Amino acid sequence: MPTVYRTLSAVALATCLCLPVKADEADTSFVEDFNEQLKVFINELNIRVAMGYGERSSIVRGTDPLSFYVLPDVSYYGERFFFDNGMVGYSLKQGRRHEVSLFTKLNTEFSFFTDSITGYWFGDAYSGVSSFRNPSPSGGWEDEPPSVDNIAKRSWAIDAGIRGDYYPADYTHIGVILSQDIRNKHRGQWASVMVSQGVPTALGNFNFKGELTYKSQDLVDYYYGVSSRDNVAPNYYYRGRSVVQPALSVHWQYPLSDRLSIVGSGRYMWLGDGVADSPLITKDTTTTFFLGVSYAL
Amino acid sequence: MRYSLITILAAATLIASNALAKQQDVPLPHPQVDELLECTEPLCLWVQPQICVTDNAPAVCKETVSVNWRSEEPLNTCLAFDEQVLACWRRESSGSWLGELTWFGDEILVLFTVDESDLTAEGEWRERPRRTSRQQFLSSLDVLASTEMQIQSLFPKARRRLGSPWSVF
Repeated sequence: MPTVYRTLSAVALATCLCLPVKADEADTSFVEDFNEQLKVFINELNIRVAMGYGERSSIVRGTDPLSFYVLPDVSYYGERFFFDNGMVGYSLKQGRRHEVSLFTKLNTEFSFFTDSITGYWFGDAYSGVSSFRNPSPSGGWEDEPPSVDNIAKRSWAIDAGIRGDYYPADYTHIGVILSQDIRNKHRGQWASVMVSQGVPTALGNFNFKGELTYKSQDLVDYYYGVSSRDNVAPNYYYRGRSVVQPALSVHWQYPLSDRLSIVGSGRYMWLGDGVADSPLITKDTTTTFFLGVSYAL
Repeated sequence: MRYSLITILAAATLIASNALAKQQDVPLPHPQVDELLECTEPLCLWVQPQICVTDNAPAVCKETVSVNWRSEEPLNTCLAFDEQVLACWRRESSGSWLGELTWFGDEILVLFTVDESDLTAEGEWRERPRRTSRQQFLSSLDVLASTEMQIQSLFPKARRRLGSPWSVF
């Protein structure tokens, strides 16, 4: 179980590194830290880097689980402009408890087609098939199910849309997002509703989030459909269908000092039949987790 | 607007306060308005404090606020804060209100005229159908005077984060 070993090693290392700090910072106020976590100062660049071990399960045939050891958390908020982990936006309307913003961000669907974090960030998909390929020299299609080894390359896309964020109570965040492809790749749309609730406790700050994400047929079909663009036998052809993907996630942060925290994240997402029925897909759910120590620069 | 020359004389005392020291059980002494400021306009409104200085973030002020008004002629009037009516007066030429208010920096304290029929026998304002926004509420009133409750934060301005921390996928 290499994953278990790697995770335990990361936690052990984190604990060794951070226990002496903890003793000096015994009076850490969790509630204050939690407030810090939920808001950002305007015109300040916030960079945190977490080191540990994380993994996202693979769902596309031929890929391994996506492992990562370093997780960045970068945000910059102006009065209205914002950058937040790859999302760039502009707030049109700001109220005490709500905000309406235009935004653009990288579509993360592409990350399922690579099993290296650098491949994800630099757009280097696993697949080496760049376009339509002829049948094998033997005269027929190799009877192999579609995988990243024999399908056409799926490109990364950039989406843009509008989001509304509402904060009905302390630590409660409700968000509604409508988004459309602007790079003419998947040519589809997605929409999401999410509710998150923070819970400060003596054991650290927890944040629970529930999401429902609708993905249009065009989006699903571009990434998970199988057609003549792919080098597979026609009996594997599949037309993707729109899906609603529920997801649950929990985030945990245990402050050790002003700059150091232990962080943990877990996310479980149901892919929906329109995706899971694709012959490219080997599972109907995906999990992501990370455990490590974060340092605020 | 009937009173075009209304002057708002806001005796804005800067009160440096922090989150712990802001709970004031003892009400502020009632200001002797006539002694503090001379009113030469048809209507004067004094609000004290109108600005608070806070060293906490996000900036929120919770203060005991004293409101005084005086008019040349008797008025039927009410005082409202952020769509909430605090007090009303029937045929009075002056009035005062003392109470605790919480503000975030953009709330408006407004003195407005009412018809006598809008007041109950006890002198309270008959609630109108609820307005959907502060602007609609304010535009529905015959405003005599208003003042914005302000905050000066010693901290850099902060806003809520829209994205989820560590959300890279």
